Amino acid sequence: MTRRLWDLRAGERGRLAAFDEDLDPRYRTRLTELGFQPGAVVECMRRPAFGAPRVFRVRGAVFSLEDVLARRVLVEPEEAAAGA
Amino acid sequence: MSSALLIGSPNSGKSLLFNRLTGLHQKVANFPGITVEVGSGSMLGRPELTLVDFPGTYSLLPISGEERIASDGFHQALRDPELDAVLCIVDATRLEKSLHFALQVIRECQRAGKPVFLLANMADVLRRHGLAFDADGLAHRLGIPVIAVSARSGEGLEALRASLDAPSERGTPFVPRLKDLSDEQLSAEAAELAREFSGDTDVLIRSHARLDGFFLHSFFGGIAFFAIMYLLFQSIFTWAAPVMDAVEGGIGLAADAVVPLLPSQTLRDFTADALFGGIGAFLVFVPQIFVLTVVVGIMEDSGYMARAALICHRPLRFFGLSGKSFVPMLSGVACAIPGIYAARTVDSPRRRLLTYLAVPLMPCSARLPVYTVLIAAFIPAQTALGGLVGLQGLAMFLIYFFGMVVGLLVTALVSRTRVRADDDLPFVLEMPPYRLPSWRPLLRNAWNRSRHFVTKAGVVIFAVTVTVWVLGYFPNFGADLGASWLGALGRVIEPVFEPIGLDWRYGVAILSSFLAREVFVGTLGAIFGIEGAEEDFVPLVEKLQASGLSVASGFALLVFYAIALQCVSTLALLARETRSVRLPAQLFLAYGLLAYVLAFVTYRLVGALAG
Repeated sequence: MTRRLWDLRAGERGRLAAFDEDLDPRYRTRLTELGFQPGAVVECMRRPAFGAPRVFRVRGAVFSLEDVLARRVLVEPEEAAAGA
Repeated sequence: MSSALLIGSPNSGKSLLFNRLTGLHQKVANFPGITVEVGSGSMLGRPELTLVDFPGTYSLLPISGEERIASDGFHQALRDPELDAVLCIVDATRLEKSLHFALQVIRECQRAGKPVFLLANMADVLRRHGLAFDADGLAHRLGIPVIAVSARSGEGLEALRASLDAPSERGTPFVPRLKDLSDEQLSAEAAELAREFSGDTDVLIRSHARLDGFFLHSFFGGIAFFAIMYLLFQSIFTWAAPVMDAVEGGIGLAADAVVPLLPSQTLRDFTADALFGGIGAFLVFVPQIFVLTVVVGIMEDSGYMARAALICHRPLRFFGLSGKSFVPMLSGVACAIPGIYAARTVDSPRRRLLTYLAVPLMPCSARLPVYTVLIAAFIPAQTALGGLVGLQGLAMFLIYFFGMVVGLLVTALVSRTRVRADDDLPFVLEMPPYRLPSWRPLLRNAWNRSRHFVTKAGVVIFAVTVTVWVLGYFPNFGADLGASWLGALGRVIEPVFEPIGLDWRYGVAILSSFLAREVFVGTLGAIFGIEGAEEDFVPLVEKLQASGLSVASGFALLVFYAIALQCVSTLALLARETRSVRLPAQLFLAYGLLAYVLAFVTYRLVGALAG
């Protein structure tokens, strides 16, 4: 069951599956360089109120992404890893 | 003269390491081919080696025009025969994120045949948490020297200096093995190395996440945000204001000491008003620039700035801005100059441009004296709602609010119509670890920025000040401002201000306040023959009320001053920062026109209501 990165709840993890077709290729390149590569495990660390950018952890670094980006990243939730 | 280049992603500790290696003796210089300023300085113990501090970047694959310039600059630097070595710095506590960029750098260096060193920073933090870093293992895998350092404690820097002297003597066989990898292979290599060499840094990230739990909390985070912003704003007034007064006082004393020694009256007037006045016109901003740079620097270095930008992003995005525009705009409420400097931190060129549009409309402190005089003259000192609300205070609040609202409306409108979208960057911000700031680099940075302002913008401000003085002084040697060239000009443009009920005297005051808004008060004082109108407003207020200026014109003037970009310092700095006079010229004309039109509308509206 694929979900949007933006829809992960705080504390949930997912394995990055793919990028949306309509994600600007330049932004895709940049996300990849920052560690948001297919196969990478991404954890939603914080969902601040009022639609503010959300905080994600990927490959040992922490980034905040706004909805424009995080809605275009698809993840497979990792239920088993969530409690680790 | 040989040189070495220091390169790394943001938050890798690059600037601190640079300061360590050069002993803070850096100078700001333009690096060939790059439009951003980079620091350079000679290395401690190796005076013949110049260390160049390359701007922090996440990638050599540019996605905005500006990043392309930085990336091109790096490739150009690699072709420079004087370049001895490239030092690529990574944050060892966040190795996974840094390695991709590091491999890009290493590959380009190997293609260009330049020696490259990997500096794994924050070795001390790792050790404090009982984590180890296998520098030799990574060196072996990468085929380049890897040195564990700490910019904070200074460890590993001796090893670095030794390696720079003799890179081949460290025993590892250095082979250019990344040279022929494609982008995809490089990615895969980075991921594999990261898995192998980064320790379990989970404990570090968890401890920072706990602080985020407070600072990004829906309720406490909001309270912390407003408390910190209040402190920032207070710092400008409580710390900078006395120094600004001292600067003004000091210049006044110097003028008093020098002027009587001069032989002719014209020379005395010129020295007192044009020379010392011109110097004062830009020196008075320096304390604010210094204090704001330090305070904003503390916010950046401590890691809070990233959180503040995150909190503000969503509301500001509606107006075409970014969360990173918040601090420039907040600084602009005190003074546009530090606000425009702070806009450097907005990474999206499009949103930085929009930030430049908003900052000059923020109600800066130079508008305060103008507002004070006009409000005292035209708003009755009455209270409403049984003494709860003073009308004059309410008017001051409304005119402040008016400037901010117009600023946001302008950016909302322009972002939806005019500005090209292809130079935008989405909001991606690394949440750096919370850290205690180091004082020396903060103060050094504030000093550099103050000096930059004095040497670059100060010259222009000084020149314009002298020009306006000459226009106001001749041909009758200061005897009568009304009969001067400036006064003649005031009569020429009188028809322009007549539709908002203003005569030539106000025209002259507006013209002269092109330098700086607060000059308006002094000029009106001079025209109405009041000495020291800047210090004591009461006689001027009475004269204004007696001069036949209508309430409608008073309101129109308030609106005009809220919008018009009458600040030569702001214009000069905008030209410096954008490297073109185009934006400041456009803003000056557009805001002048907007101010005039809205003043006219206000004049008619208030006139109709009052009549």
